Amino acid sequence: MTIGFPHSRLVARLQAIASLDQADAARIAQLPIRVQNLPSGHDIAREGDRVDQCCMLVDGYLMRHKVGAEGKRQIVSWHVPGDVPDLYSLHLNPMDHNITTLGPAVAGYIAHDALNAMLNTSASLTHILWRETLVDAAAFREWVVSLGQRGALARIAHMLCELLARLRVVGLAPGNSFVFPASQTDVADATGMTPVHANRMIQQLRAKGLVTWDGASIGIPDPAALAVLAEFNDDYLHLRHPA
Amino acid sequence: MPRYFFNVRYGEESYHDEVGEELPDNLAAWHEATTSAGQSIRDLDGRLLPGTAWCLEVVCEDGSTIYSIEVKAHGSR
Repeated sequence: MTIGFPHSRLVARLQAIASLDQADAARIAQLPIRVQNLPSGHDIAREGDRVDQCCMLVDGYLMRHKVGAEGKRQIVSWHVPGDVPDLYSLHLNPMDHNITTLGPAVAGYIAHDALNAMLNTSASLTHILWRETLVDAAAFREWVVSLGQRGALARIAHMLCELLARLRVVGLAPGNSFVFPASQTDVADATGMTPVHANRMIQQLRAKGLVTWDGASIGIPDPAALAVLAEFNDDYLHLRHPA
Repeated sequence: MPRYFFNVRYGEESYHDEVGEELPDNLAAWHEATTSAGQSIRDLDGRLLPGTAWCLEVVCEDGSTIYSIEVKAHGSR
C-alpha cells in the first residue's frame, strides 16, 4: 500500500526513533491528515490556546517559543519535517508555549479524536508516540546545558549540529547542506545572545571554515570538527541509526 | 544606517570585527555594547587574571572609537 506524502513523513520520523511494525504503519496511514500551506511567521498555536488537534510538520520549519515578561522571546526548540511538536497536547491543554512557522511551511493537522481512536487500537503505537515525546524532552535537557554552560560560539555550533543531524534523518541535508531561513534575531533568540553577538559568532564560524552561511543556505563542510567545538554528541536524539 | 564595529581586547587576545553591524544610531550601538559585554565576559570562562584588562570598543565607520567598556581585574596583594 502506498501511503500519502504527509503520512510517510510521520512514519519516517517514528521509524527513526522506534521500530514500527507493519500493522502500526498501516494504522498511521489511515490517519486523516489535513494539509495546509502556511506563510512564514504563522502562529499554529499560542500560549493559552486550547487545541483539539496536533500539527505534524510536512515541510519547512517550526519554532517553539515563549515570550518573557519584558516581551523578550526565547525560542526553545526548532522542528523539522516529520516532527509533531505539539504531540503532548493530547494530554496537556492549554498550550504553555507558542508554535510558529519559520519561513513558509506545510502543516498536516491531525485531530486529537483521530489520534486517540488510533492509539486505543494499539498499545505499541501508544508507546512509540510516548517515546517520541520523551525524545523531545531529551532535546530540551541538552538545550538547558547549552544555555547554562556553553560559550556563545559553542551554543550556535551546537544548534547547527543538531539541525544537521535531525535533517539528515529525514533526508533533507544532502552533502551536509540545508536551507534554514532564520534571521540573526531568530538565531540569537534560540541561543540566548544579542543578534549582533550572534552575527559575530557566525562570522567566526565562517572564518574558521566550519560553516558556510549564505542567505538561508547553510553548509557544514566538516560536521565532526563542528561537533567538537559544539560539544555535540547526538546520543540525546536517541536515533536508532545515528545520522 | 551607519555601521559600527565591536572590537574586543583581552590581554594578548583580540577580536577585530571585520564586518561590523548596521545599527540605527549611536544609542543603539551603546545598547548593543552593554548587552553583549556580559556575554563576551562570560565567554572568558574564568580566564580574567589579576592585572589584565578586558575591553570592548565600539568604533564607527570613520575609525573613531565612540564607546568603550573596560573591565580591570586587580589583585589586592
